[in-house]
Amino acid sequence: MEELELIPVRTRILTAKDDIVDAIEKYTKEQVGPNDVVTVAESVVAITQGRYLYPDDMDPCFLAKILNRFVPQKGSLSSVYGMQAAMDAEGKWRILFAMLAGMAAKVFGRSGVFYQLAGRQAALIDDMTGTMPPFDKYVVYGPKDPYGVAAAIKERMGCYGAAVADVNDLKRALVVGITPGLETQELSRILIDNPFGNASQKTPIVIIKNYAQAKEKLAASS
Amino acid sequence: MGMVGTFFWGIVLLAALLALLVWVYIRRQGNEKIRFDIGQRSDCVLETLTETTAVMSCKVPFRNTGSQDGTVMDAFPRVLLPYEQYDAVEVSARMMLETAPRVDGYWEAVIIPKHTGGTVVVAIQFVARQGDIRTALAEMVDMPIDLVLHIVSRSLAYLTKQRIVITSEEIAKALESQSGAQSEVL
Repeated sequence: MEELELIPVRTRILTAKDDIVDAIEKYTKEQVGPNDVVTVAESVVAITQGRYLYPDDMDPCFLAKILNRFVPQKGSLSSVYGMQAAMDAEGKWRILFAMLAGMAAKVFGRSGVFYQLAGRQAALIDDMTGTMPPFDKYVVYGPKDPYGVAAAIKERMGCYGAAVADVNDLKRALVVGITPGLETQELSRILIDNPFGNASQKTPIVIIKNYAQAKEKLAASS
Repeated sequence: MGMVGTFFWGIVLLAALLALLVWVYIRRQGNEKIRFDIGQRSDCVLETLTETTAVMSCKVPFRNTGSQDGTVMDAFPRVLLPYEQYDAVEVSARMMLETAPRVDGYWEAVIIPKHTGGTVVVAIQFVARQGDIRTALAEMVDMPIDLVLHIVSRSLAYLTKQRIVITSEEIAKALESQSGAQSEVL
């Protein structure tokens, strides 16, 4: 039986002029089979959807200039532009409420409440330096309709499944869009070592070869 | 003062106190402060030399002395040599991180953690408008270059610039030491 294999696929830099499904077809057509899962980096999906802004084109509000001060420095919302992007995506009052609730929860030793309440986009926004050049100078939002994107990829490629994922070198693998029949936690575990690589490697697509067989094998053994 | 009035002023006082606390917190948190240490700039050295072109470079250290991490979104040198002052050469320059040299003139946005720093390499290309480069640079004058940084951190993005002056003496000295002319930086 074939073993599970991760194949990173190198592409040119994709832009808002590209369609992500067309790009995946172009770069992976010969490599994807019916037992495979196609995964794509969420930031690249967002870029092809034109979901990025140049900071100098933004006009941060007073609240964004205050609330960003309460986010740890490593977070994308610690810059006033990242915070403003979150407010634009999820609503400024929702972000304010999430921030106050998050602070209160921290007092009682519970962390992560802010991102639970602030909405998916707040967790997916990439601040400057978060993506590869030339988008290193932009705030990049999370993708729009990642489940729809995953479904479109599966339909076009005729593969077992597809997913949109936010993966980094810090052992974070968050699946943000997935086709029916795939398990979010299982995919996160497979992608945890960041097969997408770093920005300079330009491999925003990863094919999980033989996923269907590996899944059957696992089910049979258990 | 009735109960409503007391409640109203209580709320106002609470809001004022909260605003004061937030202001003090932000003041104490501070900002990044990324600046070049112009005094520590190295002398220009000759990198490449052809019949009509000379490329020289110097290194300038910088440091984030602020209390927050800062992001240098863009960085570029601005050469200030008006033809009214000297028109025998055409000058262009580019700037790159010493630890991340590039050949495209692009500055990849980089986070400079607080209390850390680095070094930029400023590469300057002189092209003779007529004849050979040695003759064109024979009467060269002191030439200022503004080093411009586009910075963002906790506060709004801003531009900052500091000036270095490439002296005629160091250009002449670099030109004399043409044995070091090896690498292609422009």
